[in-house]
Amino acid sequence: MSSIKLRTERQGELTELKILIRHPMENGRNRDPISAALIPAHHIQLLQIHHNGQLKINCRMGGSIAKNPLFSFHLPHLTSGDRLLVTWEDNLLNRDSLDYQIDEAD
Amino acid sequence: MSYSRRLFLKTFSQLLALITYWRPNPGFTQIQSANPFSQQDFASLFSQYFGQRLLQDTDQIQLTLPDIAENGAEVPFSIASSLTNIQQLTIWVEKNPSPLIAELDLSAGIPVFFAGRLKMATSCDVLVIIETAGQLYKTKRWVNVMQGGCGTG
Repeated sequence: MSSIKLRTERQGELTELKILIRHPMENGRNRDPISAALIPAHHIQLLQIHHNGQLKINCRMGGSIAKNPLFSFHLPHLTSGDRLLVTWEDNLLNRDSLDYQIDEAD
Repeated sequence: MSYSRRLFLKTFSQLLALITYWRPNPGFTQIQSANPFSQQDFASLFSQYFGQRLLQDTDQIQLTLPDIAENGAEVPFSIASSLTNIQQLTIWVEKNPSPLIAELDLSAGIPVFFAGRLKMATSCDVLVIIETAGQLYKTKRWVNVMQGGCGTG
């Protein structure tokens, strides 16, 4: 199951994208409550959104984004059949992506 | 006798030159600052980004943040702007151990809107800098953090 959930909502001329990603977003300064050992940094460092194969949004980030991050972006109005590709990569080079097709109901 | 004086002068001047021109190895500092999202000092990273360039205060960036954040581990933010042709948007939390939160590149024609949740270690200013063609715009807001979420920032 993908770690990414995407929801789109038409807002007049715009389409709002809501992206929820399941990720610990550890910044490397937290300690394990039991062993008191530092939890190594593990956070998303790149989030990209492609619309019909073209890179539209490129976002670099560090561990200062909250756990299980939720992002919203606006794109100019998307029409039915348009494809969105959401990809993330973390500092341990894990990757995940979600291919999403806009349908009539959006 | 004269030889040892020469040797002394030579060694001494070399040492003096070494002390005068010694700087921390630039290669090492570069490696350290290669990741702008790592733990570092806000002021030095900020000046690395913008140097002496003029940051123009603007009301064309709408930065929405709670006045009081109960939990620093999840502070919702939202940024919208009527500015066009933006090249880059950066978000900063002044007193976080890693002060740069996110860096956003939008391709042409994408409206400036970005919302999410960030971590704040303590009460401080949140800054948003938008770079358009040749111009930097700045806006900031103060957030009171009741409880710095566990190991936030």
